[in-house]
Amino acid sequence: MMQFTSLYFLFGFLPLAWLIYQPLAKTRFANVYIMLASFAFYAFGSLRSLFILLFILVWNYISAFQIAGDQKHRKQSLWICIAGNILVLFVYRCLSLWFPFITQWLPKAASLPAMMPAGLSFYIFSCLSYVFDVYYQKVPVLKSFTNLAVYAAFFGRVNMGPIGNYQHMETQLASHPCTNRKNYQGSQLFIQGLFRKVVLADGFGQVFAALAFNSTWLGSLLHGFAYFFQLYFDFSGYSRMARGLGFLFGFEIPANFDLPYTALSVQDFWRRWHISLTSWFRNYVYIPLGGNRVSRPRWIINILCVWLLTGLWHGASWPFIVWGLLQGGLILSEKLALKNSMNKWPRLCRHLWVIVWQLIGWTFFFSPSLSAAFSWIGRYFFIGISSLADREALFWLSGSLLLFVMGILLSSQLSKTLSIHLQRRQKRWWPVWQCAGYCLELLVCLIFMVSSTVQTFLYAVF
Amino acid sequence: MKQSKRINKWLMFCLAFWIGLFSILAVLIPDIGFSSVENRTLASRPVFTLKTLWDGAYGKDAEAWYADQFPLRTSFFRMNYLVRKIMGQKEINNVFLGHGALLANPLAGNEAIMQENMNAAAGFAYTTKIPTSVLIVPSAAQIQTQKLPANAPVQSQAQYLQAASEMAQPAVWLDPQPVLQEHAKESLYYKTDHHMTSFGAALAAGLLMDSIGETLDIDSFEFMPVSTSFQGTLASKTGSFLMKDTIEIAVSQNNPDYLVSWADGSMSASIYQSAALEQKDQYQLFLGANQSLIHIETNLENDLNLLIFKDSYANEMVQFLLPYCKSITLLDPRYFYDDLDLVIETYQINQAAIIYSSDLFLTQSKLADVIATLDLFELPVSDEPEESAAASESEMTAEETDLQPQEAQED
Repeated sequence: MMQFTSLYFLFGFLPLAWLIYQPLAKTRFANVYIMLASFAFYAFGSLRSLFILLFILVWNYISAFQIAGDQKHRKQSLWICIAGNILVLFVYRCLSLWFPFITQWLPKAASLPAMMPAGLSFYIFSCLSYVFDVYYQKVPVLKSFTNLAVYAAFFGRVNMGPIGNYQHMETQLASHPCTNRKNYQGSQLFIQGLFRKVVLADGFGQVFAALAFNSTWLGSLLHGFAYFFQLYFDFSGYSRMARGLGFLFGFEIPANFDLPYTALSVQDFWRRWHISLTSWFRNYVYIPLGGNRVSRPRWIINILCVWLLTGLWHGASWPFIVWGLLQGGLILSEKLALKNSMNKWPRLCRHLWVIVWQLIGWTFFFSPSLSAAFSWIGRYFFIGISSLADREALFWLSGSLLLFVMGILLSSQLSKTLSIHLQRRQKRWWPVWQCAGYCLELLVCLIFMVSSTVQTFLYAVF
Repeated sequence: MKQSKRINKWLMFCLAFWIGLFSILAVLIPDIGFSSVENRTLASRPVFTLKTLWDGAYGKDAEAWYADQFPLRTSFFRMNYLVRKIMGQKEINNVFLGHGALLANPLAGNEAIMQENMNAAAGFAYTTKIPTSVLIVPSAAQIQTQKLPANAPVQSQAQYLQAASEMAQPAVWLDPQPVLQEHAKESLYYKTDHHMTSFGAALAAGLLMDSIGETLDIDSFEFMPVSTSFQGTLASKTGSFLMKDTIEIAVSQNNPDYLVSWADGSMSASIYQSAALEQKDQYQLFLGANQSLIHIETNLENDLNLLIFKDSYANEMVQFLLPYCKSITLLDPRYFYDDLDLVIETYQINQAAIIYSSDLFLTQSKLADVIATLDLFELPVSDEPEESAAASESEMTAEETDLQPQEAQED
């Protein structure tokens, strides 16, 4: 698939697509053009994937008509629609993994996970959001297939989201004018995202890879924190780029991250991390299950069910399931056991609570098996370490010190505080500094992009 | 507010200008076939077919082509080195950014390949009865540790080399580490390349000549600089552009006349290919690019016909062997597909050496593949049980030590 960090996209596809769009933006062909550009973008990854995308779009488009038109059987229609979507996801993600004997009859099934179209989970969930909103009669059924395609398959977010919320996007699909403000904001967001991905996430990725076999305490901790930051900057970087592209084409896509590592509780963390996914599960799974307006045991089951599904959405293996249940368990413990006492903890303790648990959570995320995950986690707490530190760990600590400082700055309020402080002190020159800063950021990104082979986004596999 | 709007426009203008400029240049500038900095062929414009579009190959190839042909690619690559240095990075592409030098991290050895190669070395000596020496040159990171950045996690190859030394019999294992370490503070390896300098090569060649029974007198060679602008493979891997190396050639006062027969059938009267000094890889000054077989015939009257199985590390040593050999035949197993028996017979080989970098010797088994083609090739067999084999080994060591005191006395 074409990556936002590829030179082909940044200096070929994007400027061309944007330039052609400008005269069309105020015409009725605007959405048709965006749809065709998005299909071309997607076909560039592979034409086969485009056919699957088209199938999903047509399936949900027709299903929504069925749900809206046939009041008697709307529930059945909804279930059939969901089943169709989940079946495609299941075939690609779970079939060969859960039923390995299938590969004896269908050898090609073994390669299905590798052949999964980019962003399949993201656009299926976007489509389901539309279908659910039609089912709950929050929105009227879409007559225009083009609008559905633009909503779910806009090239800015088809690969890695943010997952669309149809109700929020509905009015924008009818009119999304391009303005100077949007162009400016879009460029800013895109460069910020590019920098986060190319410089920070890929930098942390190097540290993570280099310490993969280190069994010292320091090495394991650095390895864990390298992933902790890599995942954040990789995904939040991509989300910023996606939002930036949205702005450049007139769409205001809501933020997907809100400084999650500054959260004061795990609940708070999930209000700030991958907001579009959390909102999707809240709106379309948790609330329909009864939310918190049910008995306590049922409510506990609801929470665990949502987090089990969240884990499965990320991957169909045990570490993801355990990760999902861990998050659910932590939220329950905060709501039931810690309740008000947590509010009395010093802020530092509350930050540490979140950071330590998320470090443990992400360890399940990157580990190939549960036993590997537990080994890594043990080493964070001095269990099973070969020594406190070795040359390799010290080498990577000293070589990536600046990277970690930048990581902490940009994932906390510190960067915002610093920016406001500078803005106040350098009132007159601030915009010039800002302009120069963005140009420098772009230059550094360009240097890194040209010099490195294209790296894939971690979240593209989900 | 007004100022902010104006700056916004400036920012938009700057970004649009740069992105637009590079987009247009990328289309207008003609494709380049080969990158001398990266030392590789660059991707060319992919051919569009429905099949390649269907399976995604077209997209991948197009991205690779666009990235490879991007304007000012080399300049960006060099700036990357600077930016990463500023960011405190001490390693790029498995090359340590050391104190005044770039040092490649040695490759992780492969025990099976090492055993294959050592069996081949021992088998060659046993089958042909030709005295054979094995000289494996360690990388700079293992010798010049003072140049490494603090705490550099250098990949150790010691266990493989130790095991290899124990498998050498009846070939002779030569360990260059002590002599190289003795001179570790001198210029043994290039700063920007993985090869040894002429001085480093002289030390290694001296070790080889000792094993043959000759004494190499380094002082009898005059070291003459022929280039001060060499930027080797490590510079290419990292993008470093500030460091440059001096290449020296060493000419002996006793150098014989000689004739070099190259793999393509051509001949010349020099082992140096001075045209290489005009190109990126100036190391090719020493015996040119890698080739299957090079034969050097000198006008010396002795009967030392030396066959060297080698990689490029041996190329620079040859200048030190010339004054001692009637003929030198250099065989690169990576490119050799002819009859090894015929080579031995034709050139009346009576001495052999295996000269490799430790990286290649521990990771590539082409040497074993070539030696295995020998007629009647067999491994030295030991039908004694392990304990008695160990005993006979210790006897052999005793015999050797019986000899060594005499040599020591002579010293």
